[in-house]
Amino acid sequence: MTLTIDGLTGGYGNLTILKDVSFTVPSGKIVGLIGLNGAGKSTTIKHIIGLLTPQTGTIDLDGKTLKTDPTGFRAGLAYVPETPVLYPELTLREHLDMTIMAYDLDKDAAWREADAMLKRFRLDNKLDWFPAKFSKGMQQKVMIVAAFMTHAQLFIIDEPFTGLDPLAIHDLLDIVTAKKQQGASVLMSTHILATAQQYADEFVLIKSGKVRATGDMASLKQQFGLQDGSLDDIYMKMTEEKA
Amino acid sequence: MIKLWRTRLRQHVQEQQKYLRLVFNDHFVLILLILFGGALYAYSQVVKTLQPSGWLALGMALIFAGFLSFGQLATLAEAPDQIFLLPKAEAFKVYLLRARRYSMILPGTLLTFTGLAMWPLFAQLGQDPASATIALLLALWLFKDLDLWLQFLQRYHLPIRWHHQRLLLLIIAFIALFGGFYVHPAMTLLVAFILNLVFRWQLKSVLEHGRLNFSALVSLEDARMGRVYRFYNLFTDVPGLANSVHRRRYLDGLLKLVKPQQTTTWLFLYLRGFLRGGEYLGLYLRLLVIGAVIVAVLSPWWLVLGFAILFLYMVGFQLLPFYYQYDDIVFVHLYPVGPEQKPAAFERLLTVLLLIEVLAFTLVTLIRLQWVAAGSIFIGGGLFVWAFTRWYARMRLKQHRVMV
Repeated sequence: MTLTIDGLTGGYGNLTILKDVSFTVPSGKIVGLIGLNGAGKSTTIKHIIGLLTPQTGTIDLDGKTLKTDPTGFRAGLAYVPETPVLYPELTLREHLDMTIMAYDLDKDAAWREADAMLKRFRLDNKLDWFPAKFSKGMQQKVMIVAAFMTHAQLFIIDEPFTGLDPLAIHDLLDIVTAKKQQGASVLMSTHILATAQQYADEFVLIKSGKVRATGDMASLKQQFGLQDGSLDDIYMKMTEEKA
Repeated sequence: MIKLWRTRLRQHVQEQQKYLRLVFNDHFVLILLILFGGALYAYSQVVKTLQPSGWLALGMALIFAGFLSFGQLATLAEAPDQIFLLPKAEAFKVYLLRARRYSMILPGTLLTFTGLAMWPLFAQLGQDPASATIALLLALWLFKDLDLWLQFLQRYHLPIRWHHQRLLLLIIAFIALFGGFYVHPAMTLLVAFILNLVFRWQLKSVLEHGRLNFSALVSLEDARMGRVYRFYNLFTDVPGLANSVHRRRYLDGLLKLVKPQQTTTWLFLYLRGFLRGGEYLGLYLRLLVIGAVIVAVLSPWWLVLGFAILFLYMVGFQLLPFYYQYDDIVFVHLYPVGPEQKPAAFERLLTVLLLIEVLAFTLVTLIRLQWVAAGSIFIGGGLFVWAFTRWYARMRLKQHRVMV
């Protein structure tokens, strides 16, 4: 599934943060969304998932938009937030039950997938606990399981690596890669540039609410004139440029 | 540290004043005055009929032990203290001593008034009222003083570990009070005086080895302020009142009533939120019990019906904000679930809860064999619930949506 953002301008109320943002997340690709704190990464994500409404521009997922087909659009999308968001009154099992109900998944199949992931994250013995009382890393794992058990075709992951132990980071990347091979598209915002460079196929570099550059590593190197540079070098160069 | 205590106390008093003004609004004060006057009159009538007996002494001892348990150590400690004030743990003692002194004021006043109220009773029972009342007052103060010291020590890691100290103290106080009411309050005073003396003699050496237990300090204060704010919350909205969530496994049977499928996503969430979160369940049960008691003691059927409907309205009205409980959770906005499900699920929950209340009120009147009242509550209450959920609640929630 392909996410296409075209000429997106938007922000909070009258405060405009994004100016004419356009990029695509093609199916079967992992796209890294890179930028400084406050550059507009989270705002972009909030527009995509529909928490904010664009002032101008369109966001469509294989032809579906939030306006024309809200339920279809939402069914195709799963989201892992930067800070875990959990229901204080639900157990881990009920969080996953909620996801199954909301996305209308087949109960047995969904639980088989969830169980495999829970085992991997060593959460399978905590099904009857309240995840709201877990540590941050464990909560993050719950969010990952809940998102990746859906049949979404677009995964939006906001800064997933903070708080996860190194083993869990590997497990997450494995899960993401598996979904990618099944044809899903992934938009991932992160500051861990080395990991992004290693796993992402393409990048969107955002600076002060505008897209500074898009493309794969080779194309970025060319655009910034850094033939031997890493993503880190490119990032540093971007931040030094005048706005 | 003393400066910190003064600042905290000033902020605390300001905050409490803000809420107390809302709690003791005009008509509530009026009702309280009438109730208070009525209680005084009833008491003066009852006192005249009393004769000295073991049962009377037992009852009085129980009442006063209850009054003694009222009043907690208010430390005004805040959660960040355990990080920011960690280097000041030793100096915290001065702060806590101030806090203890302040905490004595409210229960001290309460005990003074209740103690003074015993004057006519002692006279009726043939004792010298002046000496008996004064002895009782002194004993009560000494016990409360000791109680607050024990609570003070709860905030410390002590070399000796003992459990239920406060309960033990209350039991001793109860026995001493019983003896006091049976023979003469001077007995109670003697016990309280000796206990207090022994304790203070030991206190210094105990405290020297004690280390401040920051986590107990903070969690006890959180629990105390939580109770205070929950009380305020009966009268007004307290922002940021976070209730602790309990698993309540014994209610799992009720949860099974909702079959998990896509159309019941919201009901699944609301039901769990209602039964496990403390706030709305507590509110519902409190008002249900108070309403049932009022319905049980009133008699003309139209008055009973009026109060039943008043309580249905109060419960329904106070449950309305529960509709927005999950608006902060991003996922409820992302689920591919139709927008009509949320209001429908909420309406169903509200209807069932209010109908349970109607049934409870009907049952109470049936037990009292008030057939007319029972019938009118059943029919009138049912109609009210129908109108409230189908019409009033819908209108209110829609208004709110437009505003936001």
